[in-house]
Amino acid sequence: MPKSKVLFAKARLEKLEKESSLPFKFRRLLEESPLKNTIGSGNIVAIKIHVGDMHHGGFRTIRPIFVRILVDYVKSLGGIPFITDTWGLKHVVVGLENGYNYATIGAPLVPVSGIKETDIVKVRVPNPLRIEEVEVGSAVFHADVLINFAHSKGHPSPGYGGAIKNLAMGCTGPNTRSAIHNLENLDSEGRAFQEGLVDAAQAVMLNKPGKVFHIDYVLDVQPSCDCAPFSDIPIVPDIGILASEDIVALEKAALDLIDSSPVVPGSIGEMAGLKPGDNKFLAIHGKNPYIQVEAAHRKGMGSVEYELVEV
Amino acid sequence: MSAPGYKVYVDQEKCIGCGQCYAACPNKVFVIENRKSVPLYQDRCAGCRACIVRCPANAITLAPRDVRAFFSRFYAKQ
Repeated sequence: MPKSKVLFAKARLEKLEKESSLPFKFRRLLEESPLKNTIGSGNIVAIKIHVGDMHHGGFRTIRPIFVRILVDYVKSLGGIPFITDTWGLKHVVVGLENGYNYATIGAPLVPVSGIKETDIVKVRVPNPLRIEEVEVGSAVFHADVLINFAHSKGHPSPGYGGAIKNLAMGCTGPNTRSAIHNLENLDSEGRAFQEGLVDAAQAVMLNKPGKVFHIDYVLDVQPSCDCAPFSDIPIVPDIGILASEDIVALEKAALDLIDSSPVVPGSIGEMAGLKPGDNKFLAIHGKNPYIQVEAAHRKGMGSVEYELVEV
Repeated sequence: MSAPGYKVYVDQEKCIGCGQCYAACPNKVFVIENRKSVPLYQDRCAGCRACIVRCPANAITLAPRDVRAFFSRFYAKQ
């Protein structure tokens, strides 16, 4: 399989000018991406983000300014964007309170599977590793294009949560989320859980060949999930924003960059004695996050070989 | 099937016994006793939050359990 292109907007400010700052780099990343060939005039475009935990204890979610830039770009292509996440209408209210509202991001916030998570479409998983049928939220299922805008961070169950988990847990109904979590009991390395994630992510993308684009927001790389009612300081310094049509290459690149980075002083990365090159989420959570990457690769969802292209 | 890592609580004062959590829960955590929801089998809770999403009385909360001890070694005990 040839190398997949992964676009990279670095967080580091090289020059004291706005064009070198991440919001402007992110816009350039989008302009250089395949989205201009993916989104047609009148297309309804789902943008999946995590809007935060239900108790407002966590705060290191994707900053609204970056969602706004993505929304504006989708509109410039003639698309009709909406923001979406799981957990019904109660989570929409959380998202509005966390700054993802029409005034700030310029798009409506829609629950992925209805106000009480009953609006789902059941999808059979091709060659399932762990889960045969997945409940896909109707808002994502019926969208013409899906932009998977994930926050890269740690997670106690798979070690790491990024683009794969954003689809698998964030675009599906409660029976699927529960089925994936039930897999945690099967092994201590998180293999079954991560393979369940891959099955679910594949099902979410299944009716959109060539119509899904993935973004990993590798800033505020906190040790635990955006769904947790707490946030710790990041384990590594801000890295930037990565994007690709290839979810496997994207996740591999994000993990490689996190692992090659030094840790933030005072973080649990430092407490764990981690150095550049260490598998950080394996050390912190005891789960090797590359399991999900390799499982998705084996299922034909993408390449583990990538070319990093800086914008 | 048990213990993916959450503990579920139902505030008996707030609960109106409507049974929506009972109907929604994929792992059958809840029973209805004396017109109140009781999380009798809470060791089954997978943390999917279907009960919280549907509860019309905001009576349900979740808390992580100690099965994440590997990660929690970095933090002070509660």
